[in-house]
Amino acid sequence: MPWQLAIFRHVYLIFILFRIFEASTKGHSINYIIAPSTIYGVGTENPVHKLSAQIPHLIRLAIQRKQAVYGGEGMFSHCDLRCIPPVTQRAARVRTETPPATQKLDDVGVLMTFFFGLPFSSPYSPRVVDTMAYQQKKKTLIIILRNESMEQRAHTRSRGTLFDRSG
Amino acid sequence: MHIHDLAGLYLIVLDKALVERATGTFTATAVSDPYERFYWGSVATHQWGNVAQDIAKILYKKGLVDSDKAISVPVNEVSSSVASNSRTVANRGFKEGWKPYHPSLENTLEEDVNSVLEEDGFTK
Repeated sequence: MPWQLAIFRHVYLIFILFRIFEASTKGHSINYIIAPSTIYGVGTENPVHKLSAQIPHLIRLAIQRKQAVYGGEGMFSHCDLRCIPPVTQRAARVRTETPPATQKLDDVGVLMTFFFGLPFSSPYSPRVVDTMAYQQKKKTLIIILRNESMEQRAHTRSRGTLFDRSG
Repeated sequence: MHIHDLAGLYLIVLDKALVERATGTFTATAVSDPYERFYWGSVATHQWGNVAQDIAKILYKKGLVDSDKAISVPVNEVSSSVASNSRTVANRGFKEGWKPYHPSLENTLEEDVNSVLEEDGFTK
């Protein structure tokens, strides 16, 4: 899947999650959601699908190219969520062409925790950040971080809009 | 997380749902926090760069790649799922008694490789 499409897939999933959560808060349904991260190992009891997705993808890619590879810088594949704000700040700056608001690295909106598929290997790379920011502008999709402290997050995490699609 | 650990988490949540339904603990009334039944499933962290290096060593020993080192390629040449960032802690799962105990990604990588080779017809 092209990584630009992957962004939309994840955003789409987030909106589905919003709907599910809304149904919960309004009492329409009881929902239990499990969101696994990378799954590895062999599903020995599964008669159909014994393999997972990500690890076999890397293995097959290596065999196909006769060379093991990883995407991008490959150094911070798993990064703390606090890495994300620079990306969104840059995106906001590209979009509005105004200086980013002063924002501490700890000001991470809770919904960023769902945005786990950002398709770059290192959020620290300015080039990748710029690309991401440009794409977000082009597709008029901007992620707006909630500017609140970690403590506030605990109290407000079930409310609020973190996405601005008006651009 | 190991697939069998994930299965364990599913069972725990399923049990919880069935018990809540049977006992009426949880009826479909409005809840203040919809996240209270949202469970991350994660155990440890890894870096895709390191995973690729490990894969390189395993496949090199088997003679399937030309180098025992992994190299960087542009992110659009790999699936976005392996050039992504995600770090979560499964607090709710742990609170429900979930105890993942299966081997780490590094320790099962060879098994994964062998299974892929078997499925793709490299070995009999």
